[in-house]
Amino acid sequence: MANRCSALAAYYPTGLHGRPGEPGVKLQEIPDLNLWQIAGWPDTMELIHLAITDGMNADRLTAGQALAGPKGVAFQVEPLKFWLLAEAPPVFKEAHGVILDLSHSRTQIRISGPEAQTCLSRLLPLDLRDHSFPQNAVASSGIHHVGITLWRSELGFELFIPRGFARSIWELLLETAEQFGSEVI
Amino acid sequence: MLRIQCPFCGLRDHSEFSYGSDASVEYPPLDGSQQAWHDAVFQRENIDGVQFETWQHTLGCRMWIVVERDTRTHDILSVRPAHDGMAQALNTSLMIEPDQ
Amino acid sequence: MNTRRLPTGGQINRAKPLAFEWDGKPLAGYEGDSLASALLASGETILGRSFKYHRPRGLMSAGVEESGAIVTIGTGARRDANVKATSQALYDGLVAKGQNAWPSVRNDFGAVNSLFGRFFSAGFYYKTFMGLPPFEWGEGTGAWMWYEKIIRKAAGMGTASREADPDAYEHANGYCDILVVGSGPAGRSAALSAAQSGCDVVLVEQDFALGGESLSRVEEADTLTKELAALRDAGVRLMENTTAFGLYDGSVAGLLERVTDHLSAPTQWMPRQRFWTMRSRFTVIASGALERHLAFGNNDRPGIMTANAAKIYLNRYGILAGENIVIATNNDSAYLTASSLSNAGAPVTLLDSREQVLSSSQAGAQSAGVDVQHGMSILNAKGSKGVYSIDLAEKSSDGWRAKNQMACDLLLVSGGWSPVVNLLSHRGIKPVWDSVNGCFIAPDHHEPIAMAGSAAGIWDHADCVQSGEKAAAHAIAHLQGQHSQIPNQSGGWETPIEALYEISVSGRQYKSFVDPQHDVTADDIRLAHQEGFVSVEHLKRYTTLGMATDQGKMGNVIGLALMAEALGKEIPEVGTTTFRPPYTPISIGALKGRNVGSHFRPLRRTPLHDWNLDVGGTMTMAGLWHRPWYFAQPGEGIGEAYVRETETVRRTVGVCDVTSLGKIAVQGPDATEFLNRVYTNPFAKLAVGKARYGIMLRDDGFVMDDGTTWRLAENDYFMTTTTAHAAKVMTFLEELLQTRWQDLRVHLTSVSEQWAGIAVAGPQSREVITECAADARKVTDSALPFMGVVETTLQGNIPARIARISFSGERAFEIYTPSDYGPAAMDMIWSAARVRKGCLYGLEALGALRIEKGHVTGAELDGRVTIEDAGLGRMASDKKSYIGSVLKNRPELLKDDRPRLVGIFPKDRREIFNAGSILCQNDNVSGYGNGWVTAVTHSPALGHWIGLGFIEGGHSNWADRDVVCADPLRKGNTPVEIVSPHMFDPSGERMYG
Repeated sequence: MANRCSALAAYYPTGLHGRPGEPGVKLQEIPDLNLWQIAGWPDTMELIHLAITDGMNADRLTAGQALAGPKGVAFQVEPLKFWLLAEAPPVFKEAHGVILDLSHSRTQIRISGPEAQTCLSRLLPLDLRDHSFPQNAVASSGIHHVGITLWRSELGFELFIPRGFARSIWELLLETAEQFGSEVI
Repeated sequence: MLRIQCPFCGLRDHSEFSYGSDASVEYPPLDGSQQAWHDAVFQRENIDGVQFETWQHTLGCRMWIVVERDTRTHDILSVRPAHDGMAQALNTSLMIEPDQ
Repeated sequence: MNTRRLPTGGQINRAKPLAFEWDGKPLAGYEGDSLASALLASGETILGRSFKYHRPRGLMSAGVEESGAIVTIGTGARRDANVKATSQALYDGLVAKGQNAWPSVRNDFGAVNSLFGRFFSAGFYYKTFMGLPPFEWGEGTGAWMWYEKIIRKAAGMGTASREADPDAYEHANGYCDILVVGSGPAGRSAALSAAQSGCDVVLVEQDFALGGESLSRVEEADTLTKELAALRDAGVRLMENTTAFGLYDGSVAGLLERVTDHLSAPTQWMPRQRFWTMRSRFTVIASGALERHLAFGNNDRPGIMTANAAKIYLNRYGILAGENIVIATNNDSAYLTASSLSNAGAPVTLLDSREQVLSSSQAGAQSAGVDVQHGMSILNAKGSKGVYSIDLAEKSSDGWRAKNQMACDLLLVSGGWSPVVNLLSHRGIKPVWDSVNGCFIAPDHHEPIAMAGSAAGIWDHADCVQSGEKAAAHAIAHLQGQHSQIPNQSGGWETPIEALYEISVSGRQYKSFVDPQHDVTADDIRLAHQEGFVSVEHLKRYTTLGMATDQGKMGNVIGLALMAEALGKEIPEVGTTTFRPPYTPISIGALKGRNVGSHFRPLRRTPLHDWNLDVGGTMTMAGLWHRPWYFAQPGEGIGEAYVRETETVRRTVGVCDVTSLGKIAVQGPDATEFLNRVYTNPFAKLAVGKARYGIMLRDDGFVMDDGTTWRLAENDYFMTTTTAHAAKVMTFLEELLQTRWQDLRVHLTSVSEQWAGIAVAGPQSREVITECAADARKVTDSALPFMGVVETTLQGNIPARIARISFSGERAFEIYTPSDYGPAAMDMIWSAARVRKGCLYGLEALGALRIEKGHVTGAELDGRVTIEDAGLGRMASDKKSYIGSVLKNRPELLKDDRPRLVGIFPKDRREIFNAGSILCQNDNVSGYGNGWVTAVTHSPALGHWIGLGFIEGGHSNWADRDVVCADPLRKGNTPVEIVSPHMFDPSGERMYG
């Protein structure tokens, strides 16, 4: 199998940048994304939900909240659509919904470090204060008119950018992060 | 800046949304009369007061919503999903508590 | 004005001297100084030249309302014009220059203008240069344009740098419960009590130091530090150097944070300024009040400033601004200032226009040694480069009477206070006139906003602190859903202010400035009234009152009062103009943030972007995408390259990155029905494994977009759109499903980013595909006929969707692979094409190939074209209804003489013509002509230039007539022949074969 080529392959300046000292922001591409989109119908959403959360802890998925389990991470991105970050797609009846492989459609960038929240707020019109956007919060919004999805994992802010815009937004992120001292991992 | 309470995403800046059109227009069937289509496509009220508008949350959940807005004050009085099925699906998930 | 820095006192750090330069002269100040205070301490008095008359100007204030000391900071690309010296923090190495003067503000040739002052009254330029004799021949024409250039040069402010701005700016998004504007006593108490109640509070201060009024109150200097620490402890986010410049719908404030403007050596990675969009749930406006001037003769002379300014220079900066001081006032506030100045060692005379004041303030001043004179004011100031004496005026039964002269070197004026209600006004709430306090204040309103402190017209310090607490309580109640009104609490003076705006004596003519920054005088206001300008909005525009960079902070109220007097009305009847954002000027750079240069727009790259560059491709913009334009070989320009590429595609095979086409997954049991409703041609019976070209109309019957849709499975389609219309189509289709056709079970998802697209076109394209496919049997002629679709894998187990479709008119395939495999797939396809003497081709060759075939793109489908106009009428089914099917049959759209798609050949085949030209009959080049040219190319297949365009009635109407392609601004007229748009291989043998 051919290797997957990252959208950031040509510009990935690892190391420290900007303000010297302990980096305030760490940036890292999480390569080889596996992303499934499962869409249900108004009257089958419950069943789709069950299929996706099968094998996860019995918690319920709610809008704006990700659910992480051993099989992967799931969250709702649109009223009738879920995203599942997992190697294998979930199993459900054809009549209940449709599935789509979007693994190559997004570039995943993890932004972490003490100033990650501040850094993102320079670009993103989302209320990222801890009480409004706690761990596992999920939201879709825009950076420089590009629609993105943000999930706060236990490791940082996971930013999903449409692949074609990834490099452009990546450059903006790197530029913005310099004032905090940044490290590209 | 207008801020719109998206039924799925919550309160967001209007820059995430795109304005659609007059939500009160009922489109005729595809084989409707030319007069009916003409009126639906071209005839618009210029309301000084409360009107219903469609917007799409383009940089969010991509849902089409119906916004009730006062054109004089920009006050937004209500927001609901344009699609009844989506409204229903959202309500259902809202009614179920996370621990159930 | 003889100034001196006092040995002690002030909020400056005397241990840290700072060197700076003023008009080439090295000077020094201290850390904590403003540029204005450092200049004042250095004895510099003339700091600017006025707008029209080039009169020398000195410091008039100590804050954002400054109209005299407007200077240029920095050099080279970092030159920043029209900076108010009063709000600029001093830093080591600061370079400042006077402006609107030559050779310098001290000796300015332009001052000759003031000799002709009486000619330069309101409307002078327009009256003189736009239509009065001897210039009436120039009315409304070029003469004004000619004069304007000279006039603009004489009147004006600083000059912006012509170089690109080297600094970075950025945007920031903020969220809080309560935004407090202003860090004075009221703002601090509001912030503290709100934060202690658990609210998330942001407090912004436009000054470079926090404290507001407290910075110039000696008795508060010590407690201020403690108070600020308490605010931080309570979790308040304190932002100095940050101006709330506008309030908007949805409780959103615009803030400008000057991140490095006060630093001598900012680090390169810090942005210079930050433009905040702050969403709060409630705003407390504690923005203070600005002291007003009075209109009297030569009230703009250097050495005349507001009383409060002198207090600030004394108490905050430790500078005694004069040695012989006169203060003219109509209110109580000047008494404290008078006492402080007197205590600091200067003789002070206080002229109070009021005949009587309550004893306590007077006693305080007198015990400090101030000479208080009642019923007195000032008529005229003398001394062009600095005040040396004044003419006094005494109140009489019928106005003012000239009195004796008096020597002084500093004249302070307190004409009352104007609460800063600007932010509230931004919300469309008109301030109301409070005649007791002589100022505009906030009316009752329903916005989530509370006014506090002197911004609410509250003058007493303790009352201000209390009003902050009340505002916080009100805000918290509001957050909890309770709605209340804060009652008007304005007032606090012992003796009421006197309505005094102008001091004049009949028979004495002086220049008496109302808006010093724009050189608008009291006489200008009266002239405007005489000429019939009765509305305050007209007055403003005619005289330019309040239109300078201070936006009327100093002069508006005086102007309104004079207008009211002229009209014989009261101020509330005259009303006030609307304040609009920004409160103080903000730089264009901050508005744009990081979206400049290569980030002006987000650049969209295909997965093959770097691959294209590596093999020598030249890119071009296509919407936000960068697409390969052409691949030049050594010695080739674009002309040679695209012709070679076009020829190669027709002769052997060409490979092209077509990723930018829009791609939409259409899934669900009703997908077929849905497509059948949106496309003009039938889709109900498209077989699985087949693609179909389709056209979509808008509701109004015009063509929206075209593309192919592939049926991958029973309920699974892959739709492609044009690059240009991808987003529009997606949004429209989503609208149809979510609003009109809610019963259809169809999901749409943009998969434009999921797939890399590669077109392989030319007689040998089949061989290339066969070589690359993992299983050659999947792509044989029978397995993959014209318009066939197959889902398979390429060598290396790369998943691929292949359709045999053609845009070029050759046998051709479109191959889609998941984006991350794009470069690997391209490597493979290109090496297979290369050995067959194939080429890579770009957008220019793509254009040439499609023009030869008469295939339409965005250039033709410009939103004004019907399906018939585009020559695609056969694609419009009459057996079904679809979007646009009704309105496309409007009588106007069915006329025979509508412009129709045609091909265009030059009569003389050696000639070239241009896209964008108009098509005219014979040499009758007039109006819109009879049609237009949408696209041209050199056609290697035909050996000459060809074009596509639209002309009335189409090919059949013009086949034998003389037509010229008119291009008057570029090429002139070119005789052309109108031909069928299918200019090459009209039967399509090459494509189907």
